[in-house]
Amino acid sequence: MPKIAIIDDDPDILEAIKILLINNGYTPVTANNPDDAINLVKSEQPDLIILDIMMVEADDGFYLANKFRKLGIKAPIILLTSISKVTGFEYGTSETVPADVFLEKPVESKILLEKIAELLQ
Amino acid sequence: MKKQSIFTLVPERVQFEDFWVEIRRRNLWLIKLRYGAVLMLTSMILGTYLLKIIYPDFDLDTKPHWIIALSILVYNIFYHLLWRKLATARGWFREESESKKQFKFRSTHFSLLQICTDFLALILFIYFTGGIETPIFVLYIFHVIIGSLFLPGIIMTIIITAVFIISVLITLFEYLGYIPHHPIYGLITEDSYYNIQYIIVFYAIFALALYLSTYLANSIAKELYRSHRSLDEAYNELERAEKAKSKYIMSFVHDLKTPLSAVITYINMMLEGAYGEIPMQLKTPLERSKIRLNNGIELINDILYLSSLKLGILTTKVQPINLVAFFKEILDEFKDTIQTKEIQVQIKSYPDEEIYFNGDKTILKLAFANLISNSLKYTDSGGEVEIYINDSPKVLVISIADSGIGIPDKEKDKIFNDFYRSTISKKKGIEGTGLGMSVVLEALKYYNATIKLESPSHLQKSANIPGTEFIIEFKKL
Repeated sequence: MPKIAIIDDDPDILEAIKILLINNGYTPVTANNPDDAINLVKSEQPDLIILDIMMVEADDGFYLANKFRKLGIKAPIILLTSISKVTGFEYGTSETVPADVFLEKPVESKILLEKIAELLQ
Repeated sequence: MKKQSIFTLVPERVQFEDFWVEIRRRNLWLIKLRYGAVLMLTSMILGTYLLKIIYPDFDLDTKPHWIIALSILVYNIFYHLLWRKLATARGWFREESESKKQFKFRSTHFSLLQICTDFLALILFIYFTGGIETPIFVLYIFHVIIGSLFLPGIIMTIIITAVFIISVLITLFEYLGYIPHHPIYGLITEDSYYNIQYIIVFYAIFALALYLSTYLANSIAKELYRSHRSLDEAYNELERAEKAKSKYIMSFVHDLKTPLSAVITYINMMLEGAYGEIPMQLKTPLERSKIRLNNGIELINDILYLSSLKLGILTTKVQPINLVAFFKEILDEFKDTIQTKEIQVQIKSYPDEEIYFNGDKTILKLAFANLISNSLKYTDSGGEVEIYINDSPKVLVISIADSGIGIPDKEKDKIFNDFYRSTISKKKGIEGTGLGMSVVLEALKYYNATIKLESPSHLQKSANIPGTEFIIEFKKL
């Protein structure tokens, strides 16, 4: 069963995605702040990471994604965002933001599961 | 502070970052100007040969002038090389933060060196052109103005005092016969340098002109620096405010959307049976809750789009956009609706298949995604939507037509108002925020494009469903 790390400071989002993943045969592990997230990813070595961009600071997600890559963690990263293009940020993968997929909240379960399956292949 | 300016040569009025950049730029400007001066000097010397031919009385010993012109050229080449060396030297860009105790050859010292050598060259040039008899004396004023653009008033005053004393001494030595007089023969008939009254009056006026022009040029330079600095400060202040505004909007949207997102995610899970079978009577209320919450999110997005457009805080990237590919991309986002409602969608492009538009994709998308979304929303199942792109040398026209419910004549003007929703859409229970058209208008305003509404459209099916057509014109410059 692929292990998926969910990192978000919203407990409800965390809970909802967790149940969605369990129901679809994945093993979720969760963290709700950047510090716990680093420890979690280091110790659990997940196959995929779902990461919220805005947590305590507006760019925690970007910071964490970079940190994971620096730590040599190669698991694909899905970045979740509430603001995305709305503020003119045309998010895309780049050297500065090493994410594989950007999804805007609220994410449809179908789309999230599709992307997870794609990235885990 | 004032004392310090004598050593660092930094005018006390200009303690801001750009000062060094500005002085470096001006040093180079002075070097370039000097090449021009060498050229002018050479032309002047050559001109004297011509004058000699026209007026046989006219004569001037040009040998010293050739030496002076050549010297200026040589030291200017040296300065040019020095400028380059200083510009690439380590720590050059941080000269403003260097220790004040330790002497360092700064850009301002370089300016001082340049200005002093120029004054020296001018003193010699004037001496060999007849001293107080020469009209070239007025060139001192240019040098005072140029010097004041670089150096503090006090330094300029010291320099011109030295220049004044040297000039008086030269005239005095000429008068006493210690040094020879080099007149321009045929220009001045009387020997003014031998006339003590003339010498006194001349130097009184010269002193007045020197000190007054130093004072005036320095005051103007001071004023220029002051306005430059306040502009700089105002610009930085604006930039800070802009950033604060963007940050505020971003966190506002985030905080507003996060709880809604969480609830929608839960409802989705319930509807998908993640928590087990849900009772039949709960299914419709849950589905309605999801729709209403999605409307809320759509409204937040619309308000945000609108305010970002109005505030001009969208980061834009102008690039050539292939319009057909652009519309296909938008339609792809609506593929579920198009398939479910079995709407026939067509993209027509004239005169070419590939028409490019230079603009920002995000803003263009804001306009057209909204219009297409409306067309699909207000067109019944089995209807038609047509996107037509017509490019001509002067104007690019894009029209979005549908065979939908149309817009009654009396409501045509109102649909561009914020939060306005047509009576038919309300009657038919079609969801919407009423902000979509305002977003369209604001986005089009960015391109100075015009929008025209026609209902019935050319896709009209019957009198009851006249359809709507929006015609957008982008004028080319």
